[in-house]
Amino acid sequence: MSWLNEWMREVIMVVLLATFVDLILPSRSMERYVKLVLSLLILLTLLQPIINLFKDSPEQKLSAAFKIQELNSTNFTNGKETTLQQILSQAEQMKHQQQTESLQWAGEEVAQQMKQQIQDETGSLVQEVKVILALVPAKEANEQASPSITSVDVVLQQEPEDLEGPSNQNDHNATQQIAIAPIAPVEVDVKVEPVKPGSSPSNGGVADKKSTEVLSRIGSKAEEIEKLLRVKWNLQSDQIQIKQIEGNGKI
Amino acid sequence: MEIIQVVGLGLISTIIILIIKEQKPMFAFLIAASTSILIFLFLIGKIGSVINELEKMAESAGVQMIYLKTILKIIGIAYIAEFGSQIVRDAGQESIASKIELAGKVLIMVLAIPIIGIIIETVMKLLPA
Repeated sequence: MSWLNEWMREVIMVVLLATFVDLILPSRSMERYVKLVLSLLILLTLLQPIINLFKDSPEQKLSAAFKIQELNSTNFTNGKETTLQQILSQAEQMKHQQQTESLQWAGEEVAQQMKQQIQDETGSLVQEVKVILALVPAKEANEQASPSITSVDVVLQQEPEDLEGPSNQNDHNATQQIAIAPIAPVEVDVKVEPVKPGSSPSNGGVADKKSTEVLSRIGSKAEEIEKLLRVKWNLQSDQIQIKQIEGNGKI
Repeated sequence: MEIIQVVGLGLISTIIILIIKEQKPMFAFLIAASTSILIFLFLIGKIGSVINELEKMAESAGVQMIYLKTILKIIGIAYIAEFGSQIVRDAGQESIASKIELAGKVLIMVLAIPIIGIIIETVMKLLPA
């Protein structure tokens, strides 16, 4: 309704001005001509909405809108001109970030499942399972890049027998929290290196050899877990790292 | 009390012209022309204040300045043409006075041409092609 308001105001003002001019005109001789021009002006004012309706063609409006948009976008990027290249690189970045996030999430899920499986199958307490996933590039053009497990870290909690002999596993957590540094902080992690010095990388039996090199105390346990993971998750043994945590929580 | 000044100036100049006219018609014409110019100059300040007021009014009311400019141009042309033609008529040159008036009328009509153009254009667009 604001346009009507404006239009009415304009009409009234122009009519007032025209009357005023008519009053202060010096002579009769000019009167007809002046009146013609003034009436044309009033007519133009009355027609203003219709003229506006026809004057702004859609193309002009569109171009004006585009200009405003451009202005806004340049303001948004602090005066830098946004090019197609920039937009594409931003999209690439966002895609990459999304992919990493989804891989991380999937890794956490897989780790949860592995932990459950290990606890169910071997009965040993598992502190933490870390799974790192990575995208394997597609071998064929029509194939999409698929995620695969690159490494699995299994951190075992110390066995109850090591600390206080045979005891209930449910009691174990509570007693372990109370017992502060019961033994010297010796690293007892079982680490399976990807490539062992002395063993040839092309050797097919590397995995078996490595699994025999674990420390004797928890070797059987680690071997069991490793075997389980290999069977269930179709992993190479050099992708699996098994560590045991001490009673005071130090790895 | 400006009107008394103006009327007094006019009366004095009229009496002087009546006295001189018999001996020197040339000077009588000069006195008449200078008197009218003086009154006109006297009024210019007042006209200026009136126009300023009109401009302010139009601006506050949101009237497009092109309208106000056209109207002011019409007033100016009318006044100047009238002034000139009257002086010339006083000098006895009726034909030149009428030519000045004609020029004023034509110039006023020239101002109307863009307005007529816009109106005709709009009407042509309104009509189905």
